[in-house]
Amino acid sequence: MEPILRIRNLHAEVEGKEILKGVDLIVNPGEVHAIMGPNGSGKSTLAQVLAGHPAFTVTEGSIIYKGQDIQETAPEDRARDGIFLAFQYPIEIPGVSNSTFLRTGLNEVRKRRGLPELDAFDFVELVKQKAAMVQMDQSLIDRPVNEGFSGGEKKRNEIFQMAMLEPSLGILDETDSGLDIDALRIVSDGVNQLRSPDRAFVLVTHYQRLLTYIVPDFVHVLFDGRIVKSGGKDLALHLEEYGYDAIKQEADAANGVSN
Amino acid sequence: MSAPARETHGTAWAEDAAAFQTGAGRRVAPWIADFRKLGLDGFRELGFPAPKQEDWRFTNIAPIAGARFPFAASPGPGVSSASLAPFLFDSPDWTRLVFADGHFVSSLSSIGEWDGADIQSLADIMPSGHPVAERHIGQCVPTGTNGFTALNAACLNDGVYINVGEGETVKKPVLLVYLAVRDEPFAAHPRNLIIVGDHAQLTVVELFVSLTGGAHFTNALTEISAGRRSVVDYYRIQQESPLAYHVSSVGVRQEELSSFSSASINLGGALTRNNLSVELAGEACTTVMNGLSIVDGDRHVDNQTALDHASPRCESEELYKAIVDDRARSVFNGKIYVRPGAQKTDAKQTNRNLLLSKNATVDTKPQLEIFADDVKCTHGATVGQLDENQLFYLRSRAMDEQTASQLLTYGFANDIIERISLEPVRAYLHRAQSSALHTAAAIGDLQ
Ligand SMILES: Nc1ncnc2c1ncn2[C@@H]1O[C@H](COP(=O)(O)OP(=O)(O)OP(=O)(O)O)[C@@H](O)[C@H]1O
Ligand SMILES: [Mg+2]
Repeated sequence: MEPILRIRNLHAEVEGKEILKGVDLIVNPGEVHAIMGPNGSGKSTLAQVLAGHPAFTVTEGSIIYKGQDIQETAPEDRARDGIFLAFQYPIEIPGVSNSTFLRTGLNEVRKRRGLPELDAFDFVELVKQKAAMVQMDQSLIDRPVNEGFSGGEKKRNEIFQMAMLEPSLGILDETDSGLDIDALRIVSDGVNQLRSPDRAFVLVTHYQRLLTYIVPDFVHVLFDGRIVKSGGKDLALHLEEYGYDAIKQEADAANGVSN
Repeated sequence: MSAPARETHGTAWAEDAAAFQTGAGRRVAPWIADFRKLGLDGFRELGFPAPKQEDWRFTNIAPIAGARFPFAASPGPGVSSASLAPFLFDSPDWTRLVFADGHFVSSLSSIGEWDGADIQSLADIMPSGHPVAERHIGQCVPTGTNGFTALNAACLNDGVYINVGEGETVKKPVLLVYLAVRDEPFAAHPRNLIIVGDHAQLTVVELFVSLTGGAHFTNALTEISAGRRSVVDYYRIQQESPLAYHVSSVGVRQEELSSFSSASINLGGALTRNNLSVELAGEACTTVMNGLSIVDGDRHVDNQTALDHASPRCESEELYKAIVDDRARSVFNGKIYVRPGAQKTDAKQTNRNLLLSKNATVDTKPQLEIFADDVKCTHGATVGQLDENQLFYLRSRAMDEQTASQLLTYGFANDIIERISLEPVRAYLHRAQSSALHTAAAIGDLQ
């Protein structure tokens, strides 16, 4: 079986500073991978690099998505081909309504999939259906993208967009942070509904709680730009209990750092 | 001291104004004749503003002073309801007064039954005495403010007189359309006198458009007196030809607990200079001043606002934005005075500029003078390009770079348009800004 995503020895830097220092990861269709790790270890960087943020430069290694090396692929083409990043800090776009924003993007994705553009009526129907899935208030649809949204509303809006765009690979960067308990359950339910044998998810999270709702197949620990430990869902429980200290020490020892 | 340069002094303009006063067709009452004379004397003394004057440093009006735009003695030919149709906001039921080349055209206008206000063309009240107009004219924009205000008075010919009675609500917006019709260069000096009584409500939309692409000069002046607890919404849309010169002087005086809300949208003109000054004469007023300018080519737009917090407990919020492309230039100067005793003033001023070209220029200057201690005054100005993270966010949602840039630029402007409460005006401006920004139709259509 062809993996959806195969990352090999990925190095990436921003403003001359190396952040990713050799990431390896294979994600197969139908799988959910969780990535955990201390603040600043490079989780968001990995997510943004996968989505193609131009501020980051890949200096070594490769990202193979559905069998294609996407290093030279523009972010919009990655999105059209089914990569979706739910941002840790969703961006505000004053003056552009959520619906204009989504309809423009959705029609691009549909074009790539050989589907006709949605007319206004069908678009509204789809919005209703998907907003209901994440119990997002309809009034947020006509408001400028994320402007004045609460922290939780922004996160919900990301998942709503993902539901609209139906990606093959959903990368969720700390979507659980800032959600209240009910919202966490609702958003998780939304993601679970999207789970399917030909779709995969990478969840960046700090909290084991999310993983009780969206049960991952694999848990990885990213530390200082590398995946230093991988395991099953129990690894998250272990981390919750013991923290990252032991892993840090192991990683330092492996790198020959003494203290 | 050496004599001012001829073009700054505007001798030829003074001669034209004098000729207008002696030769003007319709007879006018003495108060009008006196007012015109006051204007001419003022203009002779002041001349056009010189670049060395602080407020005119960034805007050189030599192209106006040095040109000769004759007074248009009549409306240009060929203006019809068909040519007017695109400018009626799809709202044929609104009260409207249409002017062609500075002259009221009653056949294109529609002033309904008494709707809480006395609404007439200014020319119609000029033949006889009019104690109310006489008392108010020149109060909110003093004739001697500068050469342009003096010249407007000297050439006083037409405009609008609106007097909303105490406690009256004028339900439909009043639309004032100023069409530039003729091909040849000409000058128009429209003047509006708007008096809103205590507890009264009025919405006015001023629209300036050119039907041809020719050069002309508009020197518009509007005075608004907002009574106690009145609510006045004032929208001003300037879409004149890319060769037009446009100067406006708008003065507002707010009495206690009144609310004044304005939007100044500038999409046209070669050289545009807007002066908006608001005096918060009574306590606890609210003022909203929004502005949007879109300039490209070699065009120039200059917005000068002055907000005089003369009384306590007033709140003001000002947001001016500009999108500047090619070699165009945008100037913003926002003055806020907080007078001694104007305690609990809450003033917020923001100026944001989006540069779409490396040859575009922005000059922005907040000017706050605060003489009271218990006040909240904030101001901020930004000049920048499209935000990289916003661009990436849009691209990550499948939009190509060009679409993403256009949508962000559109949104930058639309942020102002969405603050306008009249839906037909918003719809009109969505289309107008799309064409000003050359936005792909697909984006404009989505709004
Ligand atoms: N644009 C940038 N310019 C400079 N440094 C950056 C930039 N983006 C990220 N970094 C740095 O890269 C490192 C990794 O950041 P990243 O956001 O990937 O961490 P993270 O693992 O997602 O952390 P958190 O758990 O706090 O979200 C940090 O030291 C951060 O300061
Ligand atoms: Mg992060």
